[in-house]
Amino acid sequence: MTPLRAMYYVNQFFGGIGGEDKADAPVAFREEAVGPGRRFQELCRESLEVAVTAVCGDNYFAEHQSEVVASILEAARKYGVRMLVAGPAFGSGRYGFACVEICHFLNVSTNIPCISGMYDESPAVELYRQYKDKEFFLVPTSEAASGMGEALSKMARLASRVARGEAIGSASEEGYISRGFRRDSVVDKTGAERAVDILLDKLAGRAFTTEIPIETVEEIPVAPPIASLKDVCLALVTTAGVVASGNPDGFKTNRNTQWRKYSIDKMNSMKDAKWDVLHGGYNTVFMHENPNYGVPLDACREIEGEGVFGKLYPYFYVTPGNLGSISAMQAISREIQRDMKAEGIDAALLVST
Amino acid sequence: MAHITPMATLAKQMKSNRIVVGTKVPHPCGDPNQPGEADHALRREIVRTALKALQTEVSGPTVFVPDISYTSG
Repeated sequence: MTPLRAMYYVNQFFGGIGGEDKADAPVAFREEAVGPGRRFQELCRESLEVAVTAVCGDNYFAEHQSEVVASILEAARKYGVRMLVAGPAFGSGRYGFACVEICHFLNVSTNIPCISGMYDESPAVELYRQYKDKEFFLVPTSEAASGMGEALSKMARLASRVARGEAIGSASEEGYISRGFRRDSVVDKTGAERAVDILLDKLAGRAFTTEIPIETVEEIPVAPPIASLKDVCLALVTTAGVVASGNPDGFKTNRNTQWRKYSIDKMNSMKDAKWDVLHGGYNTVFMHENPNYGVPLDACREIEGEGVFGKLYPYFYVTPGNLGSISAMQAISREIQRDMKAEGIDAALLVST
Repeated sequence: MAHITPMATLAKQMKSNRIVVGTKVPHPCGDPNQPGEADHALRREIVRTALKALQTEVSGPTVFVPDISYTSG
């Protein structure tokens, strides 16, 4: 069988260009296997051929993502590649994100299978789960690059099987990181019987495997208590979807990926101005009538006047939270936090519907 | 940050650390079915509880319950 042509992606470090000082290196293509790609090539000699390697600096990718993925797509077409292999990125944040973004983009735009590897607690793993691409497999690796040998053999084993057109089974059978797909399969017992079996196992303290794992959410570091509110600048944040009248910023009633802040300076109540309410997840009649239900400005102004806290920040932050994906909401939250820090805000009240 | 939400259980599952129980989903800070003054007092109590939450030491997701009574959703 003719080996399948593949593209390999590495960052500037594994591409042999240099360390952090070369993280601004633009994307470049080499018609050979480079760095970890060489070992990968040896492991899959019969089924795969690394036709081209894309090397890109981690910062360059982060700052020029759409340009880099577009040129990788162009090169994938030029070299007629039928698979993309990226990394392994281990615990590296930026490199991990680059691997996931490139694999996602290539799989969505060309349907070619993509394989990458990284530490399973790396932040980009969450993105991989969100993308849920049918033919993008992420293999768990060690956190440090000392696990290179094992990571490459796992990736190579999976890549060879994909290249040979073999059916790839579930995440637990194959050892890649679960994307959260529910697969149909034929079993002997009905759902009711299986549920009772699981319950009996659980009650008896025996080992059991759930058919529908509950998503776990990571802990959020606890902020220390504020000793005195006397000098605190307090901001109001809402996911209730209270936006400027006429919705000039084009918010949607669901799945928003942006936020805005609107002035409440010199107002004593949200009723002092006109607002729209954009939210597809609850009955917005009451919020239209009195947006203080979602942005409690009237109560906060009174309490501010009583000297309980320093001052109210003259804007409130908003995004309509309906059907927001965790990753989109986390991105919004990071941006708002950056803005809050720059504005000298000490504390916030978030109202969510 | 203190998080005012009528869905405190969900907020706890999502690991929000200082959770303040709000009234109802369509109006977390108040109750439109109560007369204006009572509605406003309810909103004040919720905000005061949130300010207290900001000043309270917690070690993980913690629910603060304002002294609220409301008539309906």
